[in-house]
Amino acid sequence: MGWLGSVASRIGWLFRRPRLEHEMDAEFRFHLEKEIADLMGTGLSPSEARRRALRDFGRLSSVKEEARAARGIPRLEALGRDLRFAARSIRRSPGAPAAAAMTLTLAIAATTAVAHAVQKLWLDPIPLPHPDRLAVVWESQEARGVRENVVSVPNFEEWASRSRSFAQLAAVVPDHEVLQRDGPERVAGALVSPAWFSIVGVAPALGRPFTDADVAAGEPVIVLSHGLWRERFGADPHAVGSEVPFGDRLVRVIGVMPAGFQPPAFGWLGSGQRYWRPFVATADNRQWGRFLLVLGRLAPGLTVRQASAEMAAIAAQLEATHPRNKGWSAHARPLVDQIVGEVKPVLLAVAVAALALLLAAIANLTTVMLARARRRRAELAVRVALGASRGRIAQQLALEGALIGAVAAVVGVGLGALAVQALAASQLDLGPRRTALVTDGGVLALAAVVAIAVATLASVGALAGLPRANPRAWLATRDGGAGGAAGSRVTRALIVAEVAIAILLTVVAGLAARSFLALRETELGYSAERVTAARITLPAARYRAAAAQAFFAGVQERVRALPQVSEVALVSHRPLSETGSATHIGAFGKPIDRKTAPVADIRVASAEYFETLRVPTLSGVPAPGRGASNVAISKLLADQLWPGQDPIGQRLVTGFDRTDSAAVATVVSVVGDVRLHGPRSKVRGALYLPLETRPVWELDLVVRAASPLERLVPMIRSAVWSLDSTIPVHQVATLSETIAAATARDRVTSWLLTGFSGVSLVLAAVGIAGVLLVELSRRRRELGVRLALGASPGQVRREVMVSGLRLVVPGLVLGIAAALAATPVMRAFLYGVDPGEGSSYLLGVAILLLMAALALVVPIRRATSVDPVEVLRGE
Amino acid sequence: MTERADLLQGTLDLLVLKTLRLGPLHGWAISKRIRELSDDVLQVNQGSLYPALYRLEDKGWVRSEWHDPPDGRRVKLYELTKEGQKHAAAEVRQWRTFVGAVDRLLEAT
Repeated sequence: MGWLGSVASRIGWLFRRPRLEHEMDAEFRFHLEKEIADLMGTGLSPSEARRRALRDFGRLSSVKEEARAARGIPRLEALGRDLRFAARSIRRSPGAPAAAAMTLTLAIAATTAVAHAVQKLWLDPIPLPHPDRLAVVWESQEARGVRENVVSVPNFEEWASRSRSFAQLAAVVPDHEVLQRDGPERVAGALVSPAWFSIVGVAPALGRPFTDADVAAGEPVIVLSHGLWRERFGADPHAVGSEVPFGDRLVRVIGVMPAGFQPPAFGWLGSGQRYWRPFVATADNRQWGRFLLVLGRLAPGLTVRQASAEMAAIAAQLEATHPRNKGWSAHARPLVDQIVGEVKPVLLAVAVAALALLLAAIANLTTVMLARARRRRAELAVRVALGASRGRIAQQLALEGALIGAVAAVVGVGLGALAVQALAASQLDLGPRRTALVTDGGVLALAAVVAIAVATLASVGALAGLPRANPRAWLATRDGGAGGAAGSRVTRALIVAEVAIAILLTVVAGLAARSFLALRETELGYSAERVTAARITLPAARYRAAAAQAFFAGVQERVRALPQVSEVALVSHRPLSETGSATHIGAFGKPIDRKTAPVADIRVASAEYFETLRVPTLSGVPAPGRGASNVAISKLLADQLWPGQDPIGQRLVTGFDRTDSAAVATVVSVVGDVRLHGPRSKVRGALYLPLETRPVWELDLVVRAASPLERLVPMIRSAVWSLDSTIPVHQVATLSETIAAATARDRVTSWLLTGFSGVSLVLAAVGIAGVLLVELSRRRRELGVRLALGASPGQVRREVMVSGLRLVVPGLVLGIAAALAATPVMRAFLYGVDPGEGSSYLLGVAILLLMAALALVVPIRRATSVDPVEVLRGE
Repeated sequence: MTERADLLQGTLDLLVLKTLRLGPLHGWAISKRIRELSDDVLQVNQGSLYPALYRLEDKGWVRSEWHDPPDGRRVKLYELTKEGQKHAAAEVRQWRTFVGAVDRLLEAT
């Protein structure tokens, strides 16, 4: 029977115990009866036989005890007893264990969350076969500092035919198209070379991938993602082989990728690819310049470094032969690196922080448990004197530690899991693998084990801080014990570091919180409240300019008629849109000097735009009147172009069409300034062109409505579809959400820092208290004597406070110095707050001193409550 | 009355294993057999037989089973496991080495 089996049989025994006891009785009784019968057979009287049998058997109770021991049962029972004892001993004086558990809980929560992020966003392999054999190839232009540039079609073709270090290379282009199936939906996907399928190493679960033959045949084909197939095709296997209206033509579905397939996402290629169509090089797109992403699988036995060297060599040949490649080189980068690269330094920093936190927690735990063990010297000594071995005492302390660890494990891991969920739900940019961030049972279990192990070790470690195993030495109140001196210097240094980190984090967290508040209170220049935006794209092939105008006007009219809608407007790009045009603007009559002319955002907007977004009209007509040349400009642009003059009636030209005199525009109104690019962006001038005069096929519908998004959107969709049922409504979002997403980094940073600062403050406080308590336990006798000789409690109190300050002040100085040194770094991420400004520092110091004062309460009470009589009697 | 030897510590396990090599037995029969085979020289303190049996069972060298014979009296029979048989052989060899060494020592004096 193996070790495990033996443990199992013991645990099983606990349940079978009554039966086994019964069987043991039966067995013994049988034995005695047999023996008696046997003895009677030799002529003994029944009573004599019985007496002899019982004598030979031995004392029944001790035989039974011995028999039980033979099964290894008492050890387990003793464990149960010890556990109960440990729980009782913790209940009796819960202060130190509670402090220890709290410290550890916080550290474990932080470690759990960080371990998840590191595991899921970094360490977990990319779910593709042999992902380490995949590489991304970029063009680069070192002279201009362009390291990773997309690739031109001719260069890709040359690479694909010349490269030997790549088994295959594929071009990838992000794509989107309107799928017409039970209503139009705009879907994102990618155009990929047929080689892409064998490069990623995943074949369709249904149907087949497209091949060079499909490209040559020219028939439009498509491979769907499992999700798209499930959602829009009802997971119908017959979808494969069918033709679906896709964009302005029919395409044949030839395959469905497996569920859970995660296509490689890098560069501007998102992870939300829901279909793949063949990328076909044409005479046309060979002229488009650089726009391809290139993914390759390495030839067997070759490294990315070798491949990169080869690509550089090929690029050098191409540079020599093709004038358009002058100054351009090429290199390969591992896909894993490409995907993980950006989040790696951040994760590394956070992981180091979490580890530091865990170390600090261990230091605290050891100190606190040492203080506790020293206080219990007398109890432990009595137990040793009564025959408990040092190992037994160690086991006892270990169990107490394990119990504390178990509590910390449960609560800490729970908090950590919540933090992971909060992090995943936050709109923080976590890189392309953010969807992978889910709680993982393995990591949670590991964190729990770490918590218990750390607490157990720390409590056993406390035993090492006690004088050697001599009960008399333990019993005597004789102070000191050489063992702890060196250890205590290390501990003190750790506590000083904890204080420094706490003050640093508190100052930084204070600054970050104020920065976030400043950001939130930034005047955007418009009101996003209850505003929803949705994008409508018309196929230029089917709509002439006038028809598009009419369509958009119709949509606006219908949506305005919807219940609870107060205003509706159309604009080329909503605020915080990822794209949008901007150019130099000049006053008419003066040539535009590109160095000095103001740059302004240009928006094509319907007249209702300003009212819908609550952008105030400062002068001129409330909304620019109809007419090609009537425009509105923002206050800043007006001041830039015509400082000190009335801008109304002035004429301007844009950098786009400065030669075209027909494009001269007349300012008819001045509107408020708007931060179009988010709260962090600088205010930039804006020029609003009237919608009626511009041919547009794509517009944002901006709706202010009282009804919630989920009610409003279907109504908007049906309004659009009542005009043309093939037009998709996409990029639907409330403006408030969009703004929140834009400030997500600041919000999450502020939360994280506040959390870490809180944790570090608690750690520092517990650490200070622990060190002081250990120190006091060493000086108990001295204090007792001095109190007996008439020292006042006030004096003792002052002494404890001084010892406390000796820990706090160096930490404080170090922490403030570190914060000041970090000022330039902080300036980069703060908004509207000067990192050198004093109040955050004062606040940080005040909070830390408050925590330190709290940390002193228990040591002071203990120091002043030393009973001289008791101490001296201990001599 | 014959002279009786106290059981050398640790030899009880060996004797039990050796006895069980002959086949499954219940506790009393084991103690009886040890006494008989040693011409009553080796006297097992009968009670201490059971802890030894449980210990051997715990180690996996012996297994036990309750038998309900037709005449009605339930008995617990012990028998060697495969591993127990291996150990029995090994222990016997070890014992022989030990006894041989002691013998030589006694003869030399």
